[in-house]
Amino acid sequence: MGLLDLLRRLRRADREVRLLLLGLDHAGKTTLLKRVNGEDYADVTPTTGFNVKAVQANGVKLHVWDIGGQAAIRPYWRNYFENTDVLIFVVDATDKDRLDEAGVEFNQLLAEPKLAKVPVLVFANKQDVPDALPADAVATALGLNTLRDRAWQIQACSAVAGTGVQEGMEWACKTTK
Amino acid sequence: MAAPAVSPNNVIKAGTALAVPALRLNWMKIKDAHSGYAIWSSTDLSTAFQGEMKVSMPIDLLKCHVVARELNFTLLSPQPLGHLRVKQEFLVNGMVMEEWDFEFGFVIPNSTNSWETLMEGDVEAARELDEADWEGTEVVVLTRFFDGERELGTFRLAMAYTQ
Ligand SMILES: Nc1nc2c(ncn2[C@@H]2O[C@H](COP(=O)(O)OP(=O)(O)OP(=O)(O)O)[C@@H](O)[C@H]2O)c(=O)[nH]1
Ligand SMILES: [Mg+2]
Repeated sequence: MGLLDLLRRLRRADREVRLLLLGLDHAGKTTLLKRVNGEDYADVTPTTGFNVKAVQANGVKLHVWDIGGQAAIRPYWRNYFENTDVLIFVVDATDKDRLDEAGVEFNQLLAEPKLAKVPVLVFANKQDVPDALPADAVATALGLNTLRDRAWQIQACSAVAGTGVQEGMEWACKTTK
Repeated sequence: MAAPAVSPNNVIKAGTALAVPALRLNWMKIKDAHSGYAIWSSTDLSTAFQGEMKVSMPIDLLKCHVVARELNFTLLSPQPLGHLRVKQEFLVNGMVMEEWDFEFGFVIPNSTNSWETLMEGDVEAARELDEADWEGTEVVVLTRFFDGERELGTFRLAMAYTQ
């Protein structure tokens, strides 16, 4: 799997698709993006700005934006909402202490007018770690089950082991707004 | 009718460093997008806006079906940028073979950012020329940074293909 394969899965009507990856710092967003792109992810460092991948083939464009999640950077997230087709929210499922914090950030995003109706994919990441919370526990903590205004999906994954990542990204590509 | 005066803003000066805000290029990588393997990666690019950088590229690059280019840069300013965009051109013997326009928009103060582009069938003409023709051909990747209409700097990378 790579970004070009994902691009081929986009609906024919889409000419330009923007996926936005957000989540708390250390959730695994950059690792996940590198995994999708077939890159080495051993050397990831915390993101202070953005990492953007722009893929183009046969006139169709896919743009994937990964923004840093440190608390000091979160106020800047809103500068990247415009034209988002799918919001991908990554949660570190081993970080039980910060699950509430993730839930607060997530629900603030859902309340953003610029993200109204935008489908959301939640990755419950780091499932390779034995005591990681299962996807349904993460869904409950974020309040996903009560979401009525948009398409959503929860996907258990491990960015380092590579499990679940493709399934999630395929959902995102077929669910573009 | 007299020819319109050329506005200095429209003159493209390759390798010119313009005043603030300071955008610093850190590195660039050129990769085979299928394997993720970096065919070429630059060292320090901090002076990249001050002239042309000449490098030699392994000719194997021409055999890659998909070439990815990744550029990493830092905004050295406590002020954000509002409308960062780039125009990247791929020139072969002075002819534009491929063009990317990309809008970043907002850039977080003091942030380090990366931009990777992947394009299938990178430079169709590569298949029409055989390797011997490519030796000695001048290929330039010209990357121009703007904040809105204001030019921030131009990075000119001249590549020579070698066996
Ligand atoms: N065990 C395990 N560790 C992971 C996984 N994904 C990411 N990590 C690790 O988690 C740490 C943070 O990963 P990043 O990808 O930098 O996280 P991020 O969400 O981009 O963080 P910010 O850029 O600060 O927002 C790194 O040490 C990764 O190796 C995973 O699936 N399993
Ligand atoms: Mg990151």
